[in-house]
Amino acid sequence: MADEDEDVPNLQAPAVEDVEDNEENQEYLRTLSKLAQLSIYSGTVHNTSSLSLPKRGEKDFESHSTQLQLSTLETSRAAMHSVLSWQRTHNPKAHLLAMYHEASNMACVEKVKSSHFITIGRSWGGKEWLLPEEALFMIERGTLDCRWPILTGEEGPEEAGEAGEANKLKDCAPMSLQGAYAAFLGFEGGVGGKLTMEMWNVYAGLKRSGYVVFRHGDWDEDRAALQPLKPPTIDPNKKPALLSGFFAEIWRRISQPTHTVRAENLAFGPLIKPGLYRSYADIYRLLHLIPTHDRTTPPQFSLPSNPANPYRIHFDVWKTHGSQRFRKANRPPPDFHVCVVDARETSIPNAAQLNDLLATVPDDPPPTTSTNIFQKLKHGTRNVVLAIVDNGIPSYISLLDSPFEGEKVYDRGVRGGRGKGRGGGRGRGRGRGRGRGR
Amino acid sequence: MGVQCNAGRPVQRSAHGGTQHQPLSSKVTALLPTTTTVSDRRQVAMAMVVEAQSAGAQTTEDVLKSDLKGSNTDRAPKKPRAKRPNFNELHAKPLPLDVYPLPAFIPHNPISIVRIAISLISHSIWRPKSHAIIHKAYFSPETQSVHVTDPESIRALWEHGFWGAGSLSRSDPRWLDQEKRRRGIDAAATSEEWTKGRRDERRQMKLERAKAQREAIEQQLREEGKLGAESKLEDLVGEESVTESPRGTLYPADAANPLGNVTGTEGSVVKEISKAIAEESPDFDIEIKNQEHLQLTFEETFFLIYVLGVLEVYQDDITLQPTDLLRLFCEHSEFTPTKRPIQGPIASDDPFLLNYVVFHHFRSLGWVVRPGIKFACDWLLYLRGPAFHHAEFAVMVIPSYSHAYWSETPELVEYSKGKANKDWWWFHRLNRVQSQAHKTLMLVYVEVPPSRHMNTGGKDEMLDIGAALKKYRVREFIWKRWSPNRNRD
Amino acid sequence: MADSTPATSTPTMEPDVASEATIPKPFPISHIAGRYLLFDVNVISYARRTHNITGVLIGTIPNLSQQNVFLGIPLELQPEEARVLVEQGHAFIVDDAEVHRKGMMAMSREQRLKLLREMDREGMELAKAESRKAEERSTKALKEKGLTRKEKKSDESNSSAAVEGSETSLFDSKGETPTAVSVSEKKLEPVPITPTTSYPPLTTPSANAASQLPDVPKSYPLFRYLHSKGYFTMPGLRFGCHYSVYPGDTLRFHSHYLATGLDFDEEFELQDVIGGGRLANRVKKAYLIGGEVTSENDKEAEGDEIAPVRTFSIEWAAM
Repeated sequence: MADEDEDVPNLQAPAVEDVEDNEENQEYLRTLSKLAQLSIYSGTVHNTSSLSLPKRGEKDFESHSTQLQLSTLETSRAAMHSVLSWQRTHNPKAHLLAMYHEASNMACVEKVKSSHFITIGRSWGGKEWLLPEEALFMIERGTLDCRWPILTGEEGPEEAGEAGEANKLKDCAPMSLQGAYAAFLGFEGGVGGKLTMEMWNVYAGLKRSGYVVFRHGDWDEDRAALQPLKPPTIDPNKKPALLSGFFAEIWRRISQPTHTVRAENLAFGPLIKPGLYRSYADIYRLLHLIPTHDRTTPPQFSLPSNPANPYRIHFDVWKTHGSQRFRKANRPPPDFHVCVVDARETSIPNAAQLNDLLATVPDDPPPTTSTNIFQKLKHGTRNVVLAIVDNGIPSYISLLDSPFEGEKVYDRGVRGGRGKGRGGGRGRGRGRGRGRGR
Repeated sequence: MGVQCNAGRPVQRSAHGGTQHQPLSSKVTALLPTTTTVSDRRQVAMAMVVEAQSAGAQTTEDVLKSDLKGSNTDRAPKKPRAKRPNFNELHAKPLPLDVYPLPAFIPHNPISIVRIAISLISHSIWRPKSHAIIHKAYFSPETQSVHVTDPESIRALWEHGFWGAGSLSRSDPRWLDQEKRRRGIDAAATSEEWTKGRRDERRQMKLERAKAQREAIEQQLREEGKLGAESKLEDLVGEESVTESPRGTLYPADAANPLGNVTGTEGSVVKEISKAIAEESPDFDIEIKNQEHLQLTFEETFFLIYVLGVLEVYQDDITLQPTDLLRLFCEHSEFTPTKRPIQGPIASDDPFLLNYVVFHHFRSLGWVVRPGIKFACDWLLYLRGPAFHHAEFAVMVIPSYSHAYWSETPELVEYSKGKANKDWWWFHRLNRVQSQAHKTLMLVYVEVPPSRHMNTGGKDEMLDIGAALKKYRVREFIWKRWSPNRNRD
Repeated sequence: MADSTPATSTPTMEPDVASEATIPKPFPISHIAGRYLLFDVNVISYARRTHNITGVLIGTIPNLSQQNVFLGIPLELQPEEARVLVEQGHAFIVDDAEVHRKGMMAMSREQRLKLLREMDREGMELAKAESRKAEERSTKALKEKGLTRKEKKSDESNSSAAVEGSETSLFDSKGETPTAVSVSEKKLEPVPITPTTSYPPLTTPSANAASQLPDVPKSYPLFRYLHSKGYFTMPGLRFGCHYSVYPGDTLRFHSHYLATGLDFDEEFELQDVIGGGRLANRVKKAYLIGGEVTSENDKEAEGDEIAPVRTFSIEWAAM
């Protein structure tokens, strides 16, 4: 039995997740030990060259003999403490300043210098405006110096008068990291914003992983628009063979007695009455009974629009791009659509929510060249990435709409072999020579 | 090779080497007039086989085996490991029904048309049966399953679609075969050990007795003055004042009366041992009664009856009709059977119905659907069956209460919420178990119709099963882990 | 700023002990957007060492910003962790958004100028330290190449003038030979800093006796029980459990249990337990379920009484 091995854990290859978790653990401790050495050497880190990994044999690191007295745990703890103490400093020559804008809970950047702005921010009124998550990300990674606005009435004589805050930005109080969190996340609810801590976690995580992340549409809408069905592609190679089709049809009528299920059989059984059946496929065809979700008609929303519905597309995500080619204003179709939910506040989506969520992502059926049944089923027709966050730790799940009735396993032809494109949902089988060939 | 006999007597090797004209069995007997120990016989038999093979004869193993069957202890202790059966042949039929395809039509070969015509004619005259056998089964409320006991039915149901599971096996009901094999091995091993043990015992005893005898004789001879205090019996033998018969009996040179027997036995050693063994050996050749039955789940049973019509289920000697069966299964689908009377309404979200709907859906597409309890899920989907490849999909049935009916009253709202609020920890548990087993998780959402649709008009009206089943709707969603590290470019 | 490590100081071997004295007791927990955060590195280390509270670091570490394995401040506490700290009197909750609105958005001019002066001062110190280090690095590099200072200009900014044959540093030349300092020396600018915490300039609000208790899920009794036994916990969603439970500091140990908390009378599916057991078994841990024992006689715990908790572990057995 092929599946008997499944009970013996040793015989199975470890799961991808388990391997990744293991690797992550090891990498964590490795990184920590490297950082332990670095921390002691450099207190500030705005100069990247100070962060190069220690070369072998450098005396600096070995002379701190006191470190050897600590146990491993204490060393790790001390290392962690050190790294967490690193301060965010800015290069005076490449100092990016921004002003916090209370009404919109955004940050406004005066002079755009760095290449970060290819994948972040929105131009408006001659300046670059950062959404709360974008501003917070830039501040947190140490590339943005954001300032609190000056309360009207509290300007000094030197500042009053001109609205040239740009020059006076340096006179505004700097925003600490804590302040940034308090503002961009804490004030968000007050201005009707929709950014939650969980969405922030996911945004930052994906950015750190190297993806380009933008909000999906305008978050003022309660949900995204319906995405229509993709028109079926006509495979140029599949020319309908008229003549052979004609003969096939005649052949079929001669050779196979037509079977239907009578009403009384449907009601009380059995569906398959004793009789003459030419193939198992004939029998299977009579078994179709349970209705499935209709995926041939354009999708409809099941639920009314509701801002309380947690299942909607939040972010569009693109794989790492050569930053030169990405155009902020005219973005290509995203590679992924991400919906963020809080594990503690939401339960798994019900059918209506799933329907509505998937209706807002593009129809993306498997390519017609794909023949492997498993590949096709695991590709699905529509897919969305769910990011489920549990207290700061995201778990990403790819959710697919996968119509199984498109793949008739009984029609796969050669037993034990992979069907050559047959049974692919829309085409009809070719009828001839369907004996049990091997 | 030399073969030793217990008594120290060498066995006479057959003088002739030719094997062509003598039946092997008689040859064997000729070679082994007196030896009956297993190892000895086996050694000779092996020698025979080697000879026979070198002389070009067919393998004599079977012949020898059958010939040596007289004594149970002669069965070969370990059969060679059973060859892996040809699963393609064994499981050629996906359902326990028969189909009769016409011969293939080959356009350029006129004979094929003739063959086809013959087929058509013969099929219309003698209509072949699709339902060759109707299998019988018994409802078992204690195990919440349906049992099949007839061995042919068990094989047929397992082989033609992988229905049910052996009650004493992992899945394929092979308990009897395995038990026979196990006992065969055990029997041979046990009897061999046992015999060896007894033989050693006997030999020990014999040696001791011989020793005692010898000493007694020596003592006696010393007393008679024929043997010096220092010298031993052997010396006398050497001097030929005492002779030892081939059987170990000592005779003084000058008398015909034996002194005693130094082998410790009076008669033939070998005969005595075989007698002892025959008396004491346990009987290993018992007929094993098959204690295993095939257990079908309710959903499989219902499918076999309602859909294929190849099974009949009995309860207290009465055949149950599909409608009654449906009620019965619904009643017994919970962990503790409900106390609902059998005539009452069936709940449309009864676990049996929901599981059955999903089971039917995938079976009707051609998948082999098996219970998934081992992997903490409802069903496992196999492309051809567990014999061929491990399951690719793990299915969980999720009831869905989208119909307007379920939000008509607060009680209904609460009820439906309570039934359908799985949390993300539950999901991750499930997902992780499946990914550890290299399976893909699928949640099948089943739309539950209002319960009134399950009720019939009146008590006497029979439930229209097909119509009821058609009120459900299924939708499949696949859930896979997405890794930011692996999807970056 | 209390949390910066001045570059010139010798590395502290036991930072926790040294700075523990500066931690207010009870210490404040920032309540922002419904979550509980810590920004002070000393508090974070203290909570870990003294109260076996680990939390989850969710911040990007500057210059390590392209990976997700190692994250930094802020630390996000589970509501359960925050609650247990508050219940035991070690911490209190602060509405940080409100404090910042009052403190930073409505800052007076006087306070602002004071803050700016302080930032400048610190920034200047940093600049000097940086320049010193740059000096040291370049002279060292030159030494290795066997060149003297005269011939090579340092490639870092703020280099001092080339004085024949001798090492110079900013400090030395400043006081003694101002004229020897070449005109190429640039004026040092203070390094702009983004501090991590806002305290100072803000002052920590006093502990409010009636501080709100964080809302916690129904698994809280199990959490509190495990915490009281000295275990460390992390959120366990990816493992299919509420908490991943460690016998000691997570830096040192692997987790032993995957724990899920339930109400004592809550019904659960056997199928689910099988899954948990199997899953834990594969990663060599035990699946644990537990909850607060509610007996039929007394429905509510009286006052501060904590109802006993019972735990059960499930392991996969082979037959």
